[in-house]
Amino acid sequence: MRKTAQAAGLIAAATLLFAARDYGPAIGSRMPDFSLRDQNGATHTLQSLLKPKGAVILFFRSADW
Amino acid sequence: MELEKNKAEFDKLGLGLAAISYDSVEVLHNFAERRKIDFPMLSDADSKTIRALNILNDTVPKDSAFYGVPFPGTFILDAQGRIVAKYFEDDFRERYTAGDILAHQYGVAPAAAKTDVQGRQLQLTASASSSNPAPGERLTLALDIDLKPNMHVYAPGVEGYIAIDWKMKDSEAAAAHEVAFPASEKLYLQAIDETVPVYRNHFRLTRDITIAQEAKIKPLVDASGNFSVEGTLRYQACDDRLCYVPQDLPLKWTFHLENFDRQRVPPELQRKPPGQ
Repeated sequence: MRKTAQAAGLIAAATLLFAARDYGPAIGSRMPDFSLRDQNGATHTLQSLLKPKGAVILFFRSADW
Repeated sequence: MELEKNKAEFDKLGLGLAAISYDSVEVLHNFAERRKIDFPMLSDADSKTIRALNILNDTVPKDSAFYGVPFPGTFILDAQGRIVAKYFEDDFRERYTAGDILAHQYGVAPAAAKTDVQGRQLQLTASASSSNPAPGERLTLALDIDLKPNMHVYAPGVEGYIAIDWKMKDSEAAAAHEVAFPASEKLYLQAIDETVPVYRNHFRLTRDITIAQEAKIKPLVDASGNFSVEGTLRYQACDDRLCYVPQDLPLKWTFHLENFDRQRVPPELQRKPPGQ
């Protein structure tokens, strides 16, 4: 049983590697709210970042690696 | 950081900008000082927002210091905070760049690595969204083409004529993606009594390239750190009376390879694996 689960896991992992995967919420859905501090300690929320035409929110791996 | 250079462009378009990672405020502060970054870099140190978006990199072992990092990518939001587009790569070593997103999402003309090329019935400017890409970065190349008055070239889909075609030379330095052709216009040609898809006056072709990984591209740069990619634009121009000899215009873009910044924050600020 465990073997089967492992095999299924491997197949799932392989599929993830080779199939284009859809990242994050669907197009058209609302970005979840957040409240996070920036490099100077100031707090930003989704609302505060949205400008008249919207916003570009980038996720990156790390600033230290 | 490539984003900092393009910050003013986002501002001008009326767009907010932020970059989120799992780093602590202290790590981000150290990085931003070193790299002179002043757009907001936000700390999601417990990966709460990353999880809420379902973009936690679940291939990282839980006992690793890197557990908590997201799959890197970009969300484009409208003024109400709805997601209108997403830019994610399946290979985490390949990244969309701000310049590329500006070109695709907002139609901003790539303005770097410009060269003018004079052809017989047209002239063009070749450009790129950045002149100093890092390994794995995805850039946009553009051809801004101006045909002489009364000239047209055939658009893809034409039958029986040579459609404009942009080929890239096979290169170890960068992989070329498909060409994006603008909508063509239908032109009635009395001489042949046919309606055909054409381009006239000014039009722009774009295509992305992804710069090779560091190990592959490093040996290809010259002593000053530069490398080039080349291609050809093939077209046949016609006016209302006759068609001219098909042309092959050589194209070339020269870039300066940006090296990865491997400087780390002081040890006391570095992220430890959980439980340490």
